[in-house]
Amino acid sequence: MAGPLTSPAKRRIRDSGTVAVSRPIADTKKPHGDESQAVSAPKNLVLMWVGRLIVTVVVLGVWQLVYVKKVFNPVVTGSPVEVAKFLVDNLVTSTKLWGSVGVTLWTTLIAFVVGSGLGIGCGLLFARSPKLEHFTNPFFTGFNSVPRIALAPLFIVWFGLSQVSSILVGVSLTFFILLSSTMAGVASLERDATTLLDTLGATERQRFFRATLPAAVPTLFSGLRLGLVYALLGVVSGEIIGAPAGLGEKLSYFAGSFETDAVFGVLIVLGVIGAVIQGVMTLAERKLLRWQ
Amino acid sequence: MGNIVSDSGNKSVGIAIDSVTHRFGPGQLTLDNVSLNVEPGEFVAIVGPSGCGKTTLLNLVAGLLPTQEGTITLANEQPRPGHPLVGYMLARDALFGWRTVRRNVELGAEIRGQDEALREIRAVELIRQVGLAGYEDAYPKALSHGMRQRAALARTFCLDVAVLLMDEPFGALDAQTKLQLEDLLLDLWTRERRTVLFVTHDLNEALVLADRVVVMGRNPGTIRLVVQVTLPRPREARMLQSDPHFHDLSATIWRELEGGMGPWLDR
Repeated sequence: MAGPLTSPAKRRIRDSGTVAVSRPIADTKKPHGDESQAVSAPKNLVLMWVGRLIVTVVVLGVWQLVYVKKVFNPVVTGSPVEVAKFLVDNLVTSTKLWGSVGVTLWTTLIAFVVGSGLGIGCGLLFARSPKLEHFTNPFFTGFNSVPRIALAPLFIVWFGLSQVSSILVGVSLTFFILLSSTMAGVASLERDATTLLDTLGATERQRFFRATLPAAVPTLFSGLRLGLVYALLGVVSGEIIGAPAGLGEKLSYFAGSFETDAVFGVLIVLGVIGAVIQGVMTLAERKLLRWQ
Repeated sequence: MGNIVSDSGNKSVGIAIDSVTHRFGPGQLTLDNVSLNVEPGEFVAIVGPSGCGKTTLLNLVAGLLPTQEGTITLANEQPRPGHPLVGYMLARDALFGWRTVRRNVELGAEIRGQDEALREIRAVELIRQVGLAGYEDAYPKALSHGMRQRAALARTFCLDVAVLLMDEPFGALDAQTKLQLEDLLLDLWTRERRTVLFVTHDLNEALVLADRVVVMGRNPGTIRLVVQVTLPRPREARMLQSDPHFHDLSATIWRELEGGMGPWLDR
Protein backbone atom coordinates (compact mmCIF):
# COMPACT_ATOMS: atom_id res chain seq x y z
CA MET A 1 0.00 0.00 0.00
CA ALA A 2 1.22 3.47 -0.76
CA GLY A 3 1.92 5.68 2.24
CA PRO A 4 -0.17 8.74 2.94
CA LEU A 5 2.43 10.83 1.16
CA THR A 6 1.46 9.44 -2.21
CA SER A 7 -2.25 9.31 -1.60
CA PRO A 8 -4.01 11.14 -4.42
CA ALA A 9 -5.22 14.63 -3.79
CA LYS A 10 -8.81 14.88 -2.82
CA ARG A 11 -10.25 16.41 -5.95
CA ARG A 12 -13.31 18.47 -5.55
CA ILE A 13 -15.56 17.88 -8.48
CA ARG A 14 -16.33 21.05 -10.35
CA ASP A 15 -20.01 21.59 -10.55
CA SER A 16 -21.09 20.87 -14.08
CA GLY A 17 -23.72 22.50 -16.21
CA THR A 18 -26.60 21.70 -13.94
CA VAL A 19 -28.12 24.95 -12.89
CA ALA A 20 -30.03 24.25 -9.74
CA VAL A 21 -30.27 21.30 -7.43
CA SER A 22 -33.74 19.89 -7.66
CA ARG A 23 -35.65 20.31 -4.46
CA PRO A 24 -37.31 17.32 -2.88
CA ILE A 25 -40.87 17.46 -4.07
CA ALA A 26 -43.54 17.13 -1.44
CA ASP A 27 -45.45 13.88 -1.61
CA THR A 28 -48.00 14.45 -4.35
CA LYS A 29 -50.11 11.42 -3.58
CA LYS A 30 -51.49 12.94 -0.43
CA PRO A 31 -53.18 16.29 -1.00
CA HIS A 32 -52.22 17.51 2.47
CA GLY A 33 -48.74 15.98 2.43
CA ASP A 34 -47.08 19.25 3.42
CA GLU A 35 -49.14 19.79 6.54
CA SER A 36 -48.85 16.28 7.86
CA GLN A 37 -45.07 16.42 7.33
CA ALA A 38 -44.76 19.70 9.16
CA VAL A 39 -46.54 18.21 12.15
CA SER A 40 -44.86 14.84 12.11
CA ALA A 41 -41.22 16.04 11.85
CA PRO A 42 -40.83 17.31 15.44
CA LYS A 43 -43.04 14.52 16.68
CA ASN A 44 -40.66 11.99 15.12
CA LEU A 45 -37.74 13.71 16.78
CA VAL A 46 -39.40 13.53 20.20
CA LEU A 47 -40.19 9.86 19.65
CA MET A 48 -36.61 9.24 18.62
CA TRP A 49 -35.25 10.78 21.80
CA VAL A 50 -37.79 8.97 23.97
CA GLY A 51 -36.65 5.74 22.29
CA ARG A 52 -32.99 6.54 22.94
CA LEU A 53 -33.74 7.33 26.58
CA ILE A 54 -35.60 4.03 26.99
CA VAL A 55 -32.66 2.08 25.54
CA THR A 56 -30.23 3.88 27.87
CA VAL A 57 -32.40 3.24 30.94
CA VAL A 58 -32.86 -0.43 30.03
CA VAL A 59 -29.11 -1.00 29.50
CA LEU A 60 -28.20 0.75 32.75
CA GLY A 61 -31.01 -1.10 34.57
CA VAL A 62 -29.83 -4.50 33.37
CA TRP A 63 -26.27 -3.55 34.30
CA GLN A 64 -27.35 -2.50 37.82
CA LEU A 65 -29.42 -5.68 38.14
CA VAL A 66 -26.43 -7.84 37.13
CA TYR A 67 -24.44 -6.05 39.85
CA VAL A 68 -27.08 -6.34 42.58
CA LYS A 69 -27.89 -9.99 41.81
CA LYS A 70 -24.15 -10.77 41.59
CA VAL A 71 -24.61 -12.56 38.24
CA PHE A 72 -20.87 -12.04 37.67
CA ASN A 73 -18.20 -10.99 40.12
CA PRO A 74 -19.35 -7.46 41.14
CA VAL A 75 -15.73 -6.26 41.27
CA VAL A 76 -15.44 -7.00 37.55
CA THR A 77 -18.80 -5.64 36.35
CA GLY A 78 -19.00 -2.49 38.43
CA SER A 79 -22.36 -0.70 38.55
CA PRO A 80 -23.83 2.45 36.98
CA VAL A 81 -24.74 3.81 40.39
CA GLU A 82 -21.17 3.37 41.64
CA VAL A 83 -19.80 4.96 38.45
CA ALA A 84 -22.08 7.97 38.97
CA LYS A 85 -20.95 8.15 42.60
CA PHE A 86 -17.31 8.10 41.49
CA LEU A 87 -17.90 10.90 39.00
CA VAL A 88 -19.72 13.07 41.57
CA ASP A 89 -17.10 12.38 44.25
CA ASN A 90 -14.18 13.18 42.00
CA LEU A 91 -15.53 15.97 39.83
CA VAL A 92 -18.25 17.70 41.87
CA THR A 93 -17.77 17.30 45.64
CA SER A 94 -14.00 17.13 45.24
CA THR A 95 -11.70 18.15 42.37
CA LYS A 96 -9.50 15.04 42.45
CA LEU A 97 -10.00 14.14 38.77
CA TRP A 98 -9.88 17.71 37.42
CA GLY A 99 -6.10 17.72 37.78
CA SER A 100 -5.83 14.68 35.51
CA VAL A 101 -8.28 16.20 33.05
CA GLY A 102 -6.15 19.34 32.94
CA VAL A 103 -2.91 17.40 32.43
CA THR A 104 -4.37 15.33 29.59
CA LEU A 105 -5.91 18.37 27.89
CA TRP A 106 -2.69 20.36 28.08
CA THR A 107 -0.61 17.45 26.86
CA THR A 108 -3.04 16.87 24.00
CA LEU A 109 -2.98 20.52 23.06
CA ILE A 110 0.83 20.59 22.99
CA ALA A 111 0.97 17.37 20.96
CA PHE A 112 -1.65 18.75 18.56
CA VAL A 113 0.04 22.11 18.06
CA VAL A 114 3.53 20.64 17.64
CA GLY A 115 2.37 17.72 15.48
CA SER A 116 0.13 19.74 13.17
CA GLY A 117 2.66 22.59 13.00
CA LEU A 118 5.41 20.22 11.88
CA GLY A 119 3.01 18.34 9.58
CA ILE A 120 1.73 21.46 7.84
CA GLY A 121 5.26 22.87 7.60
CA CYS A 122 6.63 19.68 6.06
CA GLY A 123 3.59 19.40 3.78
CA LEU A 124 4.11 22.93 2.43
CA LEU A 125 7.83 22.28 2.02
CA PHE A 126 7.17 19.07 0.10
CA ALA A 127 4.52 20.79 -2.02
CA ARG A 128 7.13 23.36 -3.01
CA SER A 129 9.85 20.84 -3.62
CA PRO A 130 8.56 17.58 -5.12
CA LYS A 131 12.16 16.35 -5.35
CA LEU A 132 12.57 16.55 -1.58
CA GLU A 133 9.26 14.77 -1.15
CA HIS A 134 10.33 12.07 -3.56
CA PHE A 135 13.67 11.63 -1.81
CA THR A 136 12.24 11.40 1.71
CA ASN A 137 9.13 9.42 0.78
CA PRO A 138 10.47 5.94 1.74
CA PHE A 139 11.66 7.21 5.13
CA PHE A 140 8.35 8.79 6.02
CA THR A 141 6.34 5.90 4.64
CA GLY A 142 8.45 3.49 6.65
CA PHE A 143 8.09 5.50 9.85
CA ASN A 144 4.36 5.91 9.24
CA SER A 145 4.00 2.14 8.89
CA VAL A 146 5.17 1.52 12.47
CA PRO A 147 2.24 1.42 14.89
CA ARG A 148 3.13 4.59 16.78
CA ILE A 149 1.93 3.30 20.17
CA ALA A 150 4.75 0.76 19.90
CA LEU A 151 7.20 3.67 20.11
CA ALA A 152 6.00 4.64 23.59
CA PRO A 153 8.35 2.24 25.45
CA LEU A 154 11.29 3.69 23.52
CA PHE A 155 10.24 7.24 24.35
CA ILE A 156 10.03 6.22 28.02
CA VAL A 157 13.60 4.86 27.88
CA TRP A 158 14.73 8.17 26.36
CA PHE A 159 12.69 10.66 28.34
CA GLY A 160 11.68 8.72 31.45
CA LEU A 161 8.24 8.59 32.97
CA SER A 162 7.26 12.10 31.96
CA GLN A 163 4.57 13.76 29.84
CA VAL A 164 7.20 14.17 27.12
CA SER A 165 6.73 10.53 26.08
CA SER A 166 2.95 10.99 25.81
CA ILE A 167 3.40 14.20 23.84
CA LEU A 168 5.74 12.44 21.42
CA VAL A 169 3.28 9.61 20.79
CA GLY A 170 0.58 12.21 20.07
CA VAL A 171 2.92 14.23 17.84
CA SER A 172 3.97 11.15 15.86
CA LEU A 173 0.33 10.45 15.03
CA THR A 174 -0.84 14.01 14.35
CA PHE A 175 2.21 14.85 12.22
CA PHE A 176 1.46 12.33 9.46
CA ILE A 177 -2.21 13.16 9.28
CA LEU A 178 -1.46 16.84 8.75
CA LEU A 179 1.42 16.09 6.40
CA SER A 180 -0.79 14.17 4.01
CA SER A 181 -3.81 16.46 4.28
CA THR A 182 -1.63 19.53 3.67
CA MET A 183 -0.16 17.98 0.55
CA ALA A 184 -3.57 16.89 -0.69
CA GLY A 185 -4.98 20.35 0.09
CA VAL A 186 -2.23 22.19 -1.75
CA ALA A 187 -2.70 19.91 -4.74
CA SER A 188 -6.42 20.64 -4.80
CA LEU A 189 -5.98 24.01 -6.51
CA GLU A 190 -7.48 23.54 -9.95
CA ARG A 191 -5.42 23.81 -13.13
CA ASP A 192 -7.61 26.60 -14.47
CA ALA A 193 -6.89 28.66 -11.39
CA THR A 194 -3.17 28.14 -11.94
CA THR A 195 -3.47 29.21 -15.59
CA LEU A 196 -5.46 32.27 -14.57
CA LEU A 197 -2.78 33.24 -12.03
CA ASP A 198 -0.09 32.70 -14.68
CA THR A 199 -1.82 35.06 -17.09
CA LEU A 200 -2.30 37.63 -14.35
CA GLY A 201 1.38 37.47 -13.51
CA ALA A 202 0.80 36.62 -9.86
CA THR A 203 3.86 36.49 -7.60
CA GLU A 204 4.67 33.38 -5.55
CA ARG A 205 3.38 35.15 -2.46
CA GLN A 206 0.10 36.14 -4.10
CA ARG A 207 -0.34 32.61 -5.42
CA PHE A 208 0.16 31.12 -2.00
CA PHE A 209 -1.99 33.46 0.07
CA ARG A 210 -4.74 34.18 -2.46
CA ALA A 211 -5.14 30.74 -4.04
CA THR A 212 -3.14 27.79 -2.76
CA LEU A 213 -3.82 28.32 0.93
CA PRO A 214 -7.56 29.11 0.77
CA ALA A 215 -8.06 26.23 -1.67
CA ALA A 216 -6.30 23.93 0.79
CA VAL A 217 -8.33 25.01 3.82
CA PRO A 218 -11.19 22.48 3.53
CA THR A 219 -8.83 19.53 3.23
CA LEU A 220 -6.54 21.01 5.85
CA PHE A 221 -9.43 21.39 8.22
CA SER A 222 -10.55 17.78 8.00
CA GLY A 223 -6.90 16.95 8.69
CA LEU A 224 -6.88 19.18 11.78
CA ARG A 225 -10.07 17.63 13.08
CA LEU A 226 -8.68 14.13 12.69
CA GLY A 227 -5.30 15.27 14.00
CA LEU A 228 -6.82 16.54 17.24
CA VAL A 229 -8.65 13.27 17.80
CA TYR A 230 -5.42 11.36 17.18
CA ALA A 231 -3.43 13.68 19.44
CA LEU A 232 -5.82 12.74 22.26
CA LEU A 233 -5.53 9.07 21.33
CA GLY A 234 -1.73 9.23 21.29
CA VAL A 235 -1.48 11.13 24.56
CA VAL A 236 -3.86 8.84 26.44
CA SER A 237 -2.06 5.77 25.07
CA GLY A 238 1.25 7.24 26.13
CA GLU A 239 -0.13 7.97 29.60
CA ILE A 240 -1.45 4.41 29.92
CA ILE A 241 1.95 2.96 29.09
CA GLY A 242 3.84 5.25 31.40
CA ALA A 243 3.29 8.78 32.66
CA PRO A 244 3.31 10.51 36.06
CA ALA A 245 -0.19 12.01 35.59
CA GLY A 246 -3.16 12.33 33.27
CA LEU A 247 -6.37 10.45 32.60
CA GLY A 248 -4.50 7.61 30.89
CA GLU A 249 -2.32 7.16 33.94
CA LYS A 250 -5.46 7.13 36.15
CA LEU A 251 -7.05 4.58 33.86
CA SER A 252 -4.04 2.33 34.12
CA TYR A 253 -3.87 2.77 37.90
CA PHE A 254 -7.59 2.10 38.53
CA ALA A 255 -7.59 -0.94 36.24
CA GLY A 256 -4.52 -2.27 38.03
CA SER A 257 -6.27 -2.01 41.38
CA PHE A 258 -9.56 -3.50 40.09
CA GLU A 259 -11.54 -0.29 40.60
CA THR A 260 -13.89 -0.98 37.68
CA ASP A 261 -16.30 1.85 38.56
CA ALA A 262 -13.44 4.34 38.43
CA VAL A 263 -12.26 2.94 35.09
CA PHE A 264 -15.75 3.45 33.65
CA GLY A 265 -15.86 6.92 35.16
CA VAL A 266 -12.59 7.93 33.48
CA LEU A 267 -13.77 6.43 30.19
CA ILE A 268 -16.91 8.57 30.33
CA VAL A 269 -14.81 11.67 31.00
CA LEU A 270 -12.61 10.80 27.99
CA GLY A 271 -15.71 10.29 25.85
CA VAL A 272 -17.04 13.70 26.84
CA ILE A 273 -13.67 15.33 26.07
CA GLY A 274 -13.63 13.67 22.64
CA ALA A 275 -17.18 14.79 21.89
CA VAL A 276 -16.46 18.38 22.98
CA ILE A 277 -13.33 18.49 20.79
CA GLN A 278 -15.33 17.30 17.80
CA GLY A 279 -18.08 19.81 18.50
CA VAL A 280 -15.66 22.72 18.73
CA MET A 281 -13.97 21.71 15.48
CA THR A 282 -17.32 21.38 13.70
CA LEU A 283 -18.30 24.85 14.86
CA ALA A 284 -15.04 26.40 13.75
CA GLU A 285 -15.27 24.60 10.42
CA ARG A 286 -18.77 25.86 9.78
CA LYS A 287 -17.69 29.40 10.54
CA LEU A 288 -14.56 29.23 8.39
CA LEU A 289 -15.99 27.35 5.44
CA ARG A 290 -19.27 29.18 4.93
CA TRP A 291 -18.51 29.44 1.21
CA GLN A 292 -18.73 25.69 0.80
CA MET B 1 -26.15 53.87 -18.54
CA GLY B 2 -23.09 54.89 -16.60
CA ASN B 3 -19.74 54.44 -18.16
CA ILE B 4 -17.17 52.21 -16.56
CA VAL B 5 -14.29 54.03 -14.97
CA SER B 6 -11.56 53.20 -17.41
CA ASP B 7 -8.27 54.65 -18.50
CA SER B 8 -7.41 52.07 -21.13
CA GLY B 9 -8.86 54.11 -23.99
CA ASN B 10 -5.54 55.47 -25.14
CA LYS B 11 -3.60 52.27 -24.64
CA SER B 12 -4.50 50.81 -28.03
CA VAL B 13 -2.23 47.92 -28.80
CA GLY B 14 -2.03 45.62 -31.81
CA ILE B 15 -0.63 42.13 -32.12
CA ALA B 16 1.87 41.13 -34.79
CA ILE B 17 2.38 37.42 -35.39
CA ASP B 18 5.11 36.74 -37.92
CA SER B 19 5.99 33.31 -39.39
CA VAL B 20 5.34 31.41 -36.17
CA THR B 21 6.03 27.69 -36.21
CA HIS B 22 5.47 25.50 -33.16
CA ARG B 23 6.17 21.85 -32.48
CA PHE B 24 5.07 19.74 -29.53
CA GLY B 25 7.75 17.10 -29.87
CA PRO B 26 9.52 15.92 -33.03
CA GLY B 27 7.34 15.48 -36.09
CA GLN B 28 4.30 17.05 -34.46
CA LEU B 29 3.90 20.30 -36.33
CA THR B 30 1.18 22.16 -34.42
CA LEU B 31 1.62 25.52 -36.12
CA ASP B 32 3.27 25.90 -39.52
CA ASN B 33 4.45 29.35 -40.56
CA VAL B 34 1.48 31.32 -39.21
CA SER B 35 1.37 35.09 -39.72
CA LEU B 36 -1.39 37.38 -38.55
CA ASN B 37 -1.70 41.08 -37.78
CA VAL B 38 -4.34 42.28 -35.38
CA GLU B 39 -4.94 46.01 -35.53
CA PRO B 40 -5.39 48.05 -32.36
CA GLY B 41 -9.04 47.87 -31.32
CA GLU B 42 -9.81 45.10 -33.78
CA PHE B 43 -11.85 42.03 -32.88
CA VAL B 44 -10.35 38.96 -34.53
CA ALA B 45 -11.78 35.49 -34.14
CA ILE B 46 -9.80 32.35 -34.85
CA VAL B 47 -11.95 29.41 -35.91
CA GLY B 48 -10.86 25.87 -36.54
CA PRO B 49 -11.36 22.24 -35.64
CA SER B 50 -9.80 20.88 -32.49
CA GLY B 51 -6.12 20.22 -32.95
CA CYS B 52 -5.56 23.01 -35.46
CA GLY B 53 -3.34 24.89 -33.03
CA LYS B 54 -5.66 27.84 -32.38
CA THR B 55 -5.31 27.59 -28.61
CA THR B 56 -1.56 27.08 -29.00
CA LEU B 57 -1.40 30.30 -30.99
CA LEU B 58 -3.36 32.12 -28.29
CA ASN B 59 -1.13 30.72 -25.56
CA LEU B 60 1.94 31.86 -27.48
CA VAL B 61 0.53 35.39 -27.62
CA ALA B 62 -0.28 35.15 -23.91
CA GLY B 63 3.29 34.09 -23.21
CA LEU B 64 2.12 30.89 -21.57
CA LEU B 65 4.25 29.00 -24.11
CA PRO B 66 7.67 30.14 -25.35
CA THR B 67 7.86 31.10 -29.01
CA GLN B 68 9.99 28.53 -30.84
CA GLU B 69 10.23 29.97 -34.34
CA GLY B 70 9.11 33.29 -35.73
CA THR B 71 8.23 36.40 -33.74
CA ILE B 72 5.24 37.75 -31.86
CA THR B 73 5.16 41.41 -30.95
CA LEU B 74 2.72 43.06 -28.61
CA ALA B 75 3.17 46.69 -27.57
CA ASN B 76 6.77 46.56 -28.85
CA GLU B 77 7.47 43.63 -26.57
CA GLN B 78 7.72 39.90 -26.77
CA PRO B 79 4.85 38.06 -25.11
CA ARG B 80 5.19 37.25 -21.44
CA PRO B 81 2.71 35.88 -18.93
CA GLY B 82 1.19 38.55 -16.75
CA HIS B 83 1.77 41.37 -19.26
CA PRO B 84 -0.02 44.36 -17.69
CA LEU B 85 -1.76 45.24 -20.95
CA VAL B 86 -3.13 41.75 -21.56
CA GLY B 87 -6.13 39.92 -20.10
CA TYR B 88 -6.92 36.25 -20.63
CA MET B 89 -10.22 34.42 -20.35
CA LEU B 90 -10.66 30.66 -20.27
CA ALA B 91 -13.44 28.30 -21.27
CA ARG B 92 -14.04 27.47 -17.65
CA ASP B 93 -14.73 30.26 -15.21
CA ALA B 94 -11.95 29.45 -12.70
CA LEU B 95 -13.81 31.44 -10.07
CA PHE B 96 -12.40 31.06 -6.57
CA GLY B 97 -15.03 29.34 -4.43
CA TRP B 98 -13.97 31.12 -1.26
CA ARG B 99 -14.37 34.58 -2.73
CA THR B 100 -17.64 36.39 -3.23
CA VAL B 101 -18.63 37.43 -6.74
CA ARG B 102 -17.33 40.95 -6.16
CA ARG B 103 -14.00 39.77 -4.79
CA ASN B 104 -13.69 37.34 -7.70
CA VAL B 105 -14.33 40.11 -10.21
CA GLU B 106 -11.66 42.19 -8.47
CA LEU B 107 -9.11 39.36 -8.42
CA GLY B 108 -7.14 40.27 -11.53
CA ALA B 109 -7.05 43.96 -10.71
CA GLU B 110 -6.05 43.11 -7.14
CA ILE B 111 -3.19 40.86 -8.21
CA ARG B 112 -1.92 43.53 -10.56
CA GLY B 113 -1.96 46.01 -7.72
CA GLN B 114 -4.61 48.40 -9.03
CA ASP B 115 -6.04 50.98 -6.69
CA GLU B 116 -8.48 49.40 -4.25
CA ALA B 117 -11.22 52.03 -4.34
CA LEU B 118 -11.11 52.26 -8.13
CA ARG B 119 -11.24 48.51 -8.70
CA GLU B 120 -14.18 48.18 -6.34
CA ILE B 121 -16.16 50.82 -8.23
CA ARG B 122 -15.31 49.09 -11.50
CA ALA B 123 -16.18 45.66 -10.13
CA VAL B 124 -19.60 46.74 -8.87
CA GLU B 125 -20.36 48.54 -12.14
CA LEU B 126 -19.29 45.53 -14.23
CA ILE B 127 -21.29 43.13 -12.09
CA ARG B 128 -24.31 45.28 -12.86
CA GLN B 129 -23.51 45.34 -16.57
CA VAL B 130 -23.18 41.56 -16.84
CA GLY B 131 -26.57 41.24 -15.13
CA LEU B 132 -25.44 39.96 -11.75
CA ALA B 133 -26.59 42.93 -9.67
CA GLY B 134 -27.68 41.65 -6.28
CA TYR B 135 -25.18 38.79 -6.38
CA GLU B 136 -22.15 40.87 -5.33
CA ASP B 137 -21.82 39.06 -2.02
CA ALA B 138 -22.90 35.62 -3.20
CA TYR B 139 -20.39 32.79 -3.38
CA PRO B 140 -19.87 31.08 -6.78
CA LYS B 141 -21.49 27.93 -5.44
CA ALA B 142 -24.84 29.72 -5.53
CA LEU B 143 -24.51 30.65 -9.22
CA SER B 144 -25.57 28.75 -12.31
CA HIS B 145 -23.06 27.93 -15.01
CA GLY B 146 -24.05 30.89 -17.16
CA MET B 147 -23.91 33.26 -14.20
CA ARG B 148 -20.46 32.01 -13.29
CA GLN B 149 -19.23 32.75 -16.80
CA ARG B 150 -20.81 36.20 -16.59
CA ALA B 151 -18.76 36.79 -13.46
CA ALA B 152 -15.64 35.56 -15.26
CA LEU B 153 -16.38 38.00 -18.08
CA ALA B 154 -16.70 40.81 -15.55
CA ARG B 155 -13.39 39.73 -13.98
CA THR B 156 -11.70 39.87 -17.38
CA PHE B 157 -13.02 43.37 -18.12
CA CYS B 158 -12.25 44.58 -14.62
CA LEU B 159 -8.57 44.24 -15.53
CA ASP B 160 -8.93 47.31 -17.73
CA VAL B 161 -6.39 46.14 -20.31
CA ALA B 162 -5.87 46.93 -23.99
CA VAL B 163 -5.68 43.36 -25.26
CA LEU B 164 -8.08 40.53 -24.47
CA LEU B 165 -7.17 36.95 -25.29
CA MET B 166 -10.18 34.63 -25.06
CA ASP B 167 -9.98 30.87 -25.34
CA GLU B 168 -13.45 29.55 -26.18
CA PRO B 169 -14.95 31.53 -23.30
CA PHE B 170 -18.49 30.39 -24.12
CA GLY B 171 -17.60 26.91 -25.34
CA ALA B 172 -19.05 25.14 -22.33
CA LEU B 173 -22.41 26.92 -22.30
CA ASP B 174 -25.76 25.86 -23.70
CA ALA B 175 -26.90 27.47 -26.95
CA GLN B 176 -29.19 30.07 -25.42
CA THR B 177 -26.86 31.19 -22.66
CA LYS B 178 -24.12 31.38 -25.25
CA LEU B 179 -26.09 33.87 -27.37
CA GLN B 180 -26.83 35.97 -24.28
CA LEU B 181 -23.18 36.12 -23.34
CA GLU B 182 -22.12 36.91 -26.90
CA ASP B 183 -24.43 39.92 -26.78
CA LEU B 184 -22.99 40.84 -23.42
CA LEU B 185 -19.46 40.66 -24.79
CA LEU B 186 -20.44 42.79 -27.80
CA ASP B 187 -22.02 45.30 -25.45
CA LEU B 188 -18.95 45.52 -23.20
CA TRP B 189 -16.60 45.66 -26.17
CA THR B 190 -18.61 48.44 -27.82
CA ARG B 191 -18.33 50.52 -24.64
CA GLU B 192 -14.65 49.89 -24.16
CA ARG B 193 -12.91 49.13 -27.42
CA ARG B 194 -10.15 46.62 -26.94
CA THR B 195 -8.04 44.50 -29.20
CA VAL B 196 -9.55 41.03 -28.97
CA LEU B 197 -8.18 37.70 -30.12
CA PHE B 198 -11.01 35.25 -29.70
CA VAL B 199 -10.59 31.50 -30.19
CA THR B 200 -13.65 29.38 -30.95
CA HIS B 201 -14.68 26.28 -32.87
CA ASP B 202 -18.03 27.85 -33.69
CA LEU B 203 -18.01 29.68 -37.05
CA ASN B 204 -21.31 31.43 -36.36
CA GLU B 205 -20.05 32.74 -33.05
CA ALA B 206 -16.98 34.10 -34.80
CA LEU B 207 -19.09 35.84 -37.45
CA VAL B 208 -21.38 37.38 -34.85
CA LEU B 209 -18.55 38.87 -32.85
CA ALA B 210 -15.56 39.60 -35.02
CA ASP B 211 -14.36 42.19 -37.50
CA ARG B 212 -12.24 39.53 -39.10
CA VAL B 213 -12.49 35.75 -38.96
CA VAL B 214 -9.35 33.68 -39.36
CA VAL B 215 -10.08 30.07 -40.33
CA MET B 216 -7.43 27.54 -39.44
CA GLY B 217 -6.97 23.95 -40.57
CA ARG B 218 -4.96 21.20 -38.96
CA ASN B 219 -2.12 18.81 -39.82
CA PRO B 220 -0.27 21.06 -39.89
CA GLY B 221 -1.98 24.05 -38.26
CA THR B 222 -2.08 26.82 -40.84
CA ILE B 223 -4.32 29.75 -41.69
CA ARG B 224 -6.61 28.62 -44.52
CA LEU B 225 -8.84 31.62 -44.96
CA VAL B 226 -9.27 35.15 -43.62
CA VAL B 227 -12.73 36.67 -43.92
CA GLN B 228 -13.57 40.32 -43.41
CA VAL B 229 -16.97 40.33 -41.72
CA THR B 230 -19.08 43.01 -43.35
CA LEU B 231 -22.11 42.74 -41.08
CA PRO B 232 -22.90 46.21 -39.76
CA ARG B 233 -22.42 47.09 -36.11
CA PRO B 234 -23.89 47.31 -33.56
CA ARG B 235 -24.79 43.65 -33.91
CA GLU B 236 -26.99 41.48 -31.82
CA ALA B 237 -26.29 37.78 -31.67
CA ARG B 238 -29.91 36.87 -31.13
CA MET B 239 -31.14 39.08 -33.99
CA LEU B 240 -28.52 37.75 -36.39
CA GLN B 241 -29.76 34.19 -35.91
CA SER B 242 -32.74 35.07 -38.13
CA ASP B 243 -30.83 37.33 -40.56
CA PRO B 244 -30.58 35.80 -44.09
CA HIS B 245 -27.49 37.92 -44.78
CA PHE B 246 -25.70 36.30 -41.85
CA HIS B 247 -26.60 32.80 -42.99
CA ASP B 248 -25.44 33.55 -46.54
CA LEU B 249 -22.07 34.60 -45.20
CA SER B 250 -21.81 31.51 -43.07
CA ALA B 251 -22.78 29.24 -45.97
CA THR B 252 -20.30 30.91 -48.33
CA ILE B 253 -17.43 30.33 -45.93
CA TRP B 254 -18.45 26.71 -45.46
CA ARG B 255 -18.57 26.22 -49.21
CA GLU B 256 -15.18 27.77 -49.71
CA LEU B 257 -13.71 25.62 -47.00
CA GLU B 258 -15.14 22.42 -48.34
CA GLY B 259 -14.42 23.21 -52.00
CA GLY B 260 -11.03 24.82 -51.77
CA MET B 261 -9.39 22.97 -48.95
CA GLY B 262 -11.09 19.64 -48.55
CA PRO B 263 -13.15 18.63 -45.57
CA TRP B 264 -11.74 20.68 -42.75
CA LEU B 265 -13.54 18.98 -39.92
CA ASP B 266 -12.05 15.57 -40.55
CA ARG B 267 -8.55 15.28 -41.83
